[in-house]
Amino acid sequence: MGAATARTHETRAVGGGREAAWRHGRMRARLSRIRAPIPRALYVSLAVAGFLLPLAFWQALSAEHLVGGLFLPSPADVWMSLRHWYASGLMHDAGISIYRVVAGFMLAALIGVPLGLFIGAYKWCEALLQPINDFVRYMPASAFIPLVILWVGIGEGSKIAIIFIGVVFQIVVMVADAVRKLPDRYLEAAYTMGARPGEAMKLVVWRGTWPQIVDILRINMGWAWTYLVVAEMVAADSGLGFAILQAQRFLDTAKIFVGIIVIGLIGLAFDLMFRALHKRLFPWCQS
Amino acid sequence: MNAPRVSVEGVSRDYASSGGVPVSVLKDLDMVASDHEFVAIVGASGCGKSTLLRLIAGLDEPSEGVIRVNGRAVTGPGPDRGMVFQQSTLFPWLTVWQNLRFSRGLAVNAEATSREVSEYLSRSEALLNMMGLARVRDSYPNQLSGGMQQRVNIARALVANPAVLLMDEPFGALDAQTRETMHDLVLHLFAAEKTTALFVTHDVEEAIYLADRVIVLAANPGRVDSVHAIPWGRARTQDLKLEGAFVRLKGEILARIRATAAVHADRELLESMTARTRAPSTTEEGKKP
Repeated sequence: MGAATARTHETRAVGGGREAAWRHGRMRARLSRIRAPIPRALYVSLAVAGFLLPLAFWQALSAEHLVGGLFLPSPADVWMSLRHWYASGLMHDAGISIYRVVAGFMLAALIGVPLGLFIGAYKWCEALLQPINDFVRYMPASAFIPLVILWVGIGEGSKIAIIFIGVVFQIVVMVADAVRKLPDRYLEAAYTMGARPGEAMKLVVWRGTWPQIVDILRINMGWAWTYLVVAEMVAADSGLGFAILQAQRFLDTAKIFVGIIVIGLIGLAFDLMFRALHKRLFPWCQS
Repeated sequence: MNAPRVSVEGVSRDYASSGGVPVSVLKDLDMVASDHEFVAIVGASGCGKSTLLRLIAGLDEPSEGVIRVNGRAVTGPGPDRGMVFQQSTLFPWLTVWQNLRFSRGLAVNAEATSREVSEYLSRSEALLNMMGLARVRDSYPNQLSGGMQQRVNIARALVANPAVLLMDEPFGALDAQTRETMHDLVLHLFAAEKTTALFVTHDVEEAIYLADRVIVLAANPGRVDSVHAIPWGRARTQDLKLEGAFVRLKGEILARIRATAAVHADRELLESMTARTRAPSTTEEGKKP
């Protein structure tokens, strides 16, 4: 019996090393398995590392003077530039830019979402509007600048118009697709309960595609921000995009960095807002 | 004068095919369902049984012939014909209770008197309890099991008190155990509800167990092959499925379906396979001596 106990101890001792190896192997298997979940702590630290590693690389490059300050300002330079800009009206620039993006985006959503709904729901509407929409969609928004100046002038309207042109056609296509993807059987069920076409449109098509529409708007809000610099090429005297263009003229690379980073952060904030809204509005979408 | 609840008179349905030659899915089909009758429709795939149900529902139009429900010709879908599909059609954005009350908010029911409204409410409550759904009343459809979802679908189709309930393979996507439970639930429900029902299925056992009458459709083009009256009363239990008479009837109906199936390729393959498995054994025997 004593021998038996000794043997168990022995196996356990050996097992300790083996267990570590086994655990190591299991973690590797977990990381290589497609779609396998990973521990939350690991997820968060990887996300942080995703930000910190490029930052460290950037710092190393500029500290060693491997790249000239004109091409790559150091993180400290960018930080100084940010503080400087903050003192001289960064918030005003950010505010006016947010106004332009939101106004252009809202206008595009107000026109694009109903158009998309109708194109997705009615074949005659699709025939009439989809081909022309697809045609205009491929035209570069920046090429419209001269026309916009000619038609809308050089006031706020022209900046909003560029952002509007940049996203409205995408919203139309994506909303129409979302409507087409709504299964027929929901509509048929509504009809067998006595719904009229108008009611099916409101109670089934609209309600059923709402979550996708909010998602589409979230994605297009991101695209609206990418059109900001283009929009502020039009005779602007303030705004983040304008400031970036201005900094380019004076070779103020650090300020360009700040402008890009600030736009990124604002975009991220909008994205998170849309995600929170989605979660709040559509509890039935979470499985 | 006892007019049939549903009558299908000389109905044909052709579809335009890619080759230009129209394909006849249903050809000159006649059938009736009388008041409170539970009719099951079976047949090989391609016999047009689902098409027939969609025509009665008004979701599709016949190329020829007319369909009457309560004597009125069908021109489109309407609340007098409730429909349950194979896949759940519960609106995912509404809770179970909101799904049940969906038809209440429609314009067709807008002029309901307050008595009708309260009747509707108590009917929704009653159906909810009868189908064992009281506990999941405020759940969303994606939180329910498949069997539970189909129960809500049936309750929702019945809540507006339709003249006929149309069911298109409603339990086809459920597992065998859940399906058995659903069968007994449906028997109980129709004992209490007394609605006319048309039930399309490919499961002959299910058809016999639930129906008063089983109609076999022949395929290519779809037409009525035979009608089988089910001799047992409405009080049925699972033991019935093991009785000799039940098994014989099942065999008879299955034989009709096999005889009228449109697709012979599978059977030919099967025959050639049986022939092949037999062949080596004979050569083996030939070698022995």
